[in-house]
Amino acid sequence: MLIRKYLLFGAIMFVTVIMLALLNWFPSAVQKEGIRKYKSIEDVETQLKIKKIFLPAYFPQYLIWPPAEIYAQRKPYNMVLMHFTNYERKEIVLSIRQVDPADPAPLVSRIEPVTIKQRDNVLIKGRKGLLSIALCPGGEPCNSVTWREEGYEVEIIAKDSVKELLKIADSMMEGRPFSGDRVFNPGK
Amino acid sequence: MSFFGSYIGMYMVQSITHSVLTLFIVEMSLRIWQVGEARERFRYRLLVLILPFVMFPAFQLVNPDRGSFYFVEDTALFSSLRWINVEVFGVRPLFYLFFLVTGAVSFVVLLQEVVPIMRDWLAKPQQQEGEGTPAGPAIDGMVGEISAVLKIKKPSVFVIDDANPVIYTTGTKEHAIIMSEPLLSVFSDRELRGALAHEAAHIVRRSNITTLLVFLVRICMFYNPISLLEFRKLVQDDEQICDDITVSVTRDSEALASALRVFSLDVPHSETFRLSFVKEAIESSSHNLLLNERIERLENHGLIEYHPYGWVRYAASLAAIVGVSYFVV
Repeated sequence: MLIRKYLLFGAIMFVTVIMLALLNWFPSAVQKEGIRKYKSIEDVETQLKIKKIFLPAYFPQYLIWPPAEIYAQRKPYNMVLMHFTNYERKEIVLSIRQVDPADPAPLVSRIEPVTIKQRDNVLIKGRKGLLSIALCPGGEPCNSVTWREEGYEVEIIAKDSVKELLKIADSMMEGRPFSGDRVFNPGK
Repeated sequence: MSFFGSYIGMYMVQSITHSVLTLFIVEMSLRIWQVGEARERFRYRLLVLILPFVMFPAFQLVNPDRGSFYFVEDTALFSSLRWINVEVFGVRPLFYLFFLVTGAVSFVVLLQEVVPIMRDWLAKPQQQEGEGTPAGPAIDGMVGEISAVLKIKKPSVFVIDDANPVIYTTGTKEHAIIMSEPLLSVFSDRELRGALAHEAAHIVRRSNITTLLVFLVRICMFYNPISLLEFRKLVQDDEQICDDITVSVTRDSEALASALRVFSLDVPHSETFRLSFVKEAIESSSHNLLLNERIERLENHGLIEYHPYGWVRYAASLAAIVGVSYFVV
């Protein structure tokens, strides 16, 4: 009798969990707005009709293509965030985000730097950008670079060297010539 | 940062969602475990009030990342904000409903609890515990016998000059029973013994402190509709537990039921509509309803034998509430 009560209690709890999961799924099933996860870049392009998605032409060999995760939204602000994983470590080591600069609280990357060691102004194929030399939780280097292009704020965060990071950033600016010295106002 | 992205916003939303979930699991538990005793039911209902008050800050301490987008996306079982942000024809109905409900509940708590307390406090700042005249040797003797059975220090009994039938216990360390003068003539000896034993039961249970703490939690969650409803159930359960203790001392459930009838209120009525009459009528009807429930219980069940606590099943319910709530944001 007592065991039956415990079994019933367990069954009710199981049904409660299932119901909660269904209730959680329902709004995202009927609602097409807001940040959602997409399977591919093509899905983002076709479903959200975002014309320009910034992708690097230079792609370090240790990274897995396609992106492990893609989050995007069209309203209220355009945003695409991609996470890339490392072949060996199978962890996210690179994120590329393009966001409407008007978004007051854009989605942050999974690899958000916690300690900024130095900030430098840089040129990304002639565009002014901001390079942050930083550390991730655990003390691992994770540097970032941001700049504005075609109405977006583009941000790359990479658990890699500054050299590799800027190489990736440069490769995203198709057709723009390299314009001389990269660091034009160091230490600021 | 939006309101719902702030700590206070997350606290408000999650405490209400956790209240609903806790209420559901507690009500299911009461049915599955077939909890019939007021004493055990009280402990379960206490969870509905206390857990949603403390769970959110405790969970955030354990995992500060719990409010993040990725926790909601990867780990959470249910996100309240998904529903609050649902748009229908460009409008977020649940967003407005949230503020409407919390606003209305806050208004009710303010009007029903805070204003009367402040008014009484400002009107009678000089009122102290143990006011009135000592009740006399007959009543003192009766209280002495009851106290000996319940193994408590004999409280003083004072009679106050009030036309209404009133009896209550004051104090947290040194207790006193206060009763109004009309009760001395209205109550028979049996009824008086029952009423005094009931007040002594409140002293045994330290009801004053418990009710004060529960009340403070409820005031802190002034916006929470579940807390508002559950507080009343808790108070009613506490009264029923004291009724049970009383009957175990006096062995006379009929006398206590008869004594309770004295406290029924006349429901006011008026030819012309006035909001104050509606409020009084609702309050009186609600008071009588709860009183009748106790009277009926005493008449039908008499002496209730308490069984040992079912700690294992209580722990199972508690674990289920905390475990599931962690994944509800």
